[in-house]
Amino acid sequence: MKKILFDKSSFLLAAIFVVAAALLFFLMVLAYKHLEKQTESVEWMQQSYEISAKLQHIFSNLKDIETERRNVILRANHEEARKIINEKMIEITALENSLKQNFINYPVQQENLQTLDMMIRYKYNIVNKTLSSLSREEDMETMKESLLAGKNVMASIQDKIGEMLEEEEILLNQRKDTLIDIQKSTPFYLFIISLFSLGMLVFAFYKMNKDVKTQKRNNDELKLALDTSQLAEKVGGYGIWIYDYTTKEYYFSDNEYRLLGYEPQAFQADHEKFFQHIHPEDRKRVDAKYHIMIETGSMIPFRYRIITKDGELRHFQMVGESVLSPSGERILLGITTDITSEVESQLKLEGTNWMLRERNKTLSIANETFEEAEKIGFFGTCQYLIDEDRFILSDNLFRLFGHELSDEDQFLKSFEEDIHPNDLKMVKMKISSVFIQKEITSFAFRIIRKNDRKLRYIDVTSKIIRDKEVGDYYLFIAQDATDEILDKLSIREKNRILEANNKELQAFNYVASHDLQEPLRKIETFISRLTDKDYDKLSDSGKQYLERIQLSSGRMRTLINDLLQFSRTTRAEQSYEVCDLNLLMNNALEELYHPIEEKRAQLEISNLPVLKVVPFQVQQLFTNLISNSLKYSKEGVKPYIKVDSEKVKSATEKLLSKAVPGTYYKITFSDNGIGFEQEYADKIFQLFHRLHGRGEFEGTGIGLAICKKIVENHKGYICAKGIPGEGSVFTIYFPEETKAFS
Amino acid sequence: MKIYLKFDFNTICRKVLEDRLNDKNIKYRILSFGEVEFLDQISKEEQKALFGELNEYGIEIIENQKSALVQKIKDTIVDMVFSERDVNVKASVYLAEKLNHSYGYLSNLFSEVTYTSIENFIILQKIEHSKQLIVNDKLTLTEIAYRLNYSSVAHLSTQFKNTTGITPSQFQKIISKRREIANKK
Amino acid sequence: MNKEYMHIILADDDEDDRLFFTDAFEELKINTKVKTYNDGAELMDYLNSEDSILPEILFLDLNMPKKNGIECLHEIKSNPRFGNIAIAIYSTSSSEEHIEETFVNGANIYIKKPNDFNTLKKVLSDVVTINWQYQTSGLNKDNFLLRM
Repeated sequence: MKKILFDKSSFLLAAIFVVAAALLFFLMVLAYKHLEKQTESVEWMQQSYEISAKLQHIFSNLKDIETERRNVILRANHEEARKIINEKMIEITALENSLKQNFINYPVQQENLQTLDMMIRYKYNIVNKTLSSLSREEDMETMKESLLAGKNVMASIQDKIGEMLEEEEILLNQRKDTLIDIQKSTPFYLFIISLFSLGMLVFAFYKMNKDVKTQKRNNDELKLALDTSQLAEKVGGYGIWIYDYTTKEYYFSDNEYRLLGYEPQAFQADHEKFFQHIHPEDRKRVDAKYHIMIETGSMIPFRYRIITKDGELRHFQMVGESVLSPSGERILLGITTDITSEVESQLKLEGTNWMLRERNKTLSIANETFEEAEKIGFFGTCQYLIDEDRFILSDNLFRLFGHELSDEDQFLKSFEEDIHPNDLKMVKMKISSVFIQKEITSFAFRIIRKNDRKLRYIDVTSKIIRDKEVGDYYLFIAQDATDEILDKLSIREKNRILEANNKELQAFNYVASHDLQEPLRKIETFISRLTDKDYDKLSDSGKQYLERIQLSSGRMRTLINDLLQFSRTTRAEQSYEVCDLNLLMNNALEELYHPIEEKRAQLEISNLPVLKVVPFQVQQLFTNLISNSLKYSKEGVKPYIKVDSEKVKSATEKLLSKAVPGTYYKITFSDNGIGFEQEYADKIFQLFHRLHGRGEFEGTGIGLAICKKIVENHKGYICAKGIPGEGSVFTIYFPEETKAFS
Repeated sequence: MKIYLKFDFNTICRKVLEDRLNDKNIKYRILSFGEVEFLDQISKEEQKALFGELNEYGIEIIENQKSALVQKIKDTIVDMVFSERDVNVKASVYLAEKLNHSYGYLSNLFSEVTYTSIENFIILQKIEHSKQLIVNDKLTLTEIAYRLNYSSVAHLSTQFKNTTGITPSQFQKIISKRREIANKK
Repeated sequence: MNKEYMHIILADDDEDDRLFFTDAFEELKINTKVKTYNDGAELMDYLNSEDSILPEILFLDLNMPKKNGIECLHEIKSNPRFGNIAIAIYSTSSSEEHIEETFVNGANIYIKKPNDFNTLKKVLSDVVTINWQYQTSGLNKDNFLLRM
């Protein structure tokens, strides 16, 4: 990683910097030089001004001296003047000296100065002369001469000074011009160079910025790539490890740690540490493969098991390849993948596969069975696959219609011909309603079977089936229901006849019983009239005959009464009412008041339920049963009749084993009469069946039949149990459900 | 609009009587139900006119003393039954006391005139009253049995059935069905 | 008992029953005047005629030609003029529903024709007696229901 990257950009940048630096340096030098020159110029100017100033001063001093001279002339302060003049002369001398210094390099000025000096000395002399003359009081003429001389000298001095000043001024101007030039050019150069430098700097800045941005972007991308790869690792359940051949160091990616159940970078990446986690059985194999991998630099992926930090067993797959790192070193790049779920899925798949195969077997068996079933059940199926617009017809469908097991298209085209013309329209309508309106209907129609021209009834049910795998399809099941339908029709006909017969019989029954009563009543009444009025007029045999007639007619009455009763219980219109059975029982007991009193019977009646019944029928039932118990009581024994009631479930009652399941009310009538043999338990409920001759007991044999009828009307059950000589028990079950009577 | 009326015959008869007598300006005194004393003398014509008028209301003059007494017996019984007097005292004793005759005499007289016995008559009245109670006051059998001093509902029921041939509940049913039909019209 | 006669009418199509009826009343010690009619039409004709003497008790057989007992019953009950007549249905049927029906339709008495003459006498006698009680003792005729 130590190669120097030959970056164009970098070089450019360096170059720019160097150039800029050089320029700046140059600039600095230039600036310095100019500044120096400038300073020089300024100094020179200053000097010039100084010189001018000095010259002026000299002149002014000379003037002063002159003035003094004049003063002396005018006044007479010789001493003061002389002092002042001397002072001034000294000053002048000093100034001259300094000037001399100034003029070192200016020979012209030096000459001038010498000239001036001569003049000044001359002046001085004049002045001195003046003074002396004054002191000696020279004459005016001399004074005037000296004044004039003085003035002439002053004028010459002035001229000379003027000359010197001019010379100086010329110099000054020269210097000024140079200065101006310099001043002019310097900024210009400075400006250009600065501009150029600035330009370079800007360019450099721009370039740098771009570079930085690029760098940053690269960095970001790198970071993103890094994050992505880490995420990929996590998601993909794999970890990356790197072995550096050179440094013999390992590097584990964060996820490599996680795979093992550790926090990222939990421990120093190390070969030993990793191997610790490998399942003991696999260690040897893995170790061997691993070494091969290191040596050869590649390895086909192999699998092994590890145990994570938390003791979980997981399946790993390792693959490795030796590559060159970016920095040019050889490294071994390895990827460890957690394939536990794969392994598990595979196992599951195998399991599923096996199941599917088994199921397939079952299905094909089912299929065959179904085909057989179709044959046996006389039905055929047709499926219309909606998406594929295709029909699938079962073999038996063809057979149903009497077609050969040939192709479907022909069947589909021609099956309408087989349909009975009267039903064709209906069939077409129904089929279209299934397809167009998506209505599921069942319908039946007749066909003339193709092979034997027999009329058959076909019953079709249709259904839309939504199947995820196969797609949606219509299922038609056609069944040959001829036998059933014919049976049904014949049964219906028979039923109708039976019902009609029944009705007739019932009507006949009722009317007969009712109308038979009339003549009977007359007979009885006339007999009674006869007995009342003319009994005594009869002979003995006449009396006897009359008695027998009476008996017979009495029996007939009983018979008719019973028949009438019976017919009433079978009549169609029966009104069910919610009734308290206790009231009905009371009524029955009242009816039987006399026989109860006569026989001094003892009755124990427990509380009876409230049920929905036909009141008069149930009352009749009670009357008949109790009347029976009274009738068939033991000679000389007081009849004891017990009526019990309880609510039971059909499941617990032996007698209800064949009954409709549910809850029932069980009412028992037990007596201590003569009882009967259990073998006749069923017979006694038969119409007209009697166990005793007419001589022993009166009766028509209808009573119990009526009881049975009544109980059956109420969807209940009745049975009898008898023990000869001890008594009988009659058990009635009424269902609790009032729905039975709707 | 349909309304149901209850007739208090005592009041009705009395009112009619009073009206008629006042109308004719006859002074009178009512001694008891069915017994009136005229304080004035009334001519035969007036009598005939008065009795004629009263006849129209169904009020008859009992000319026969026997009949009068029988009527008294009847009235007493009716009053006794309909006022639901707590008969701790037996009816026979009560009647004898009230009418100042021996019960035996009363009994014979009653049978002679009416061809039924006092007992039967009492029973008839009681049943009649219970019919009214069923129909008008809509009382339950238990309440009626209590009011009329029957020992039990069954006793009342039995007597009802013996007298009318139907049970009280049947009676009730018939009356309510009659009303239903009448309401529909 | 009134010295007056009690008027009784029977409508029955059966000759024998008419005979029994009139014989029975003859033997009873009650002052009665008994009239019989063969069918409902005849009966109603008589009743509706202006000079008819209305009976105290009217006995109606149910099964009659032309007009049966129920029809007559309705007609009679709907005519206020006949409001005072006690109506007795005199029938062979003993069906409970029948009986209830006749009462509901306005009959006062229901009699099942007895098979015995003496019973018949007793029944008729009771009917008459009880009816007379209703007439003389101010009992409510609307509640007059009797079943024999």
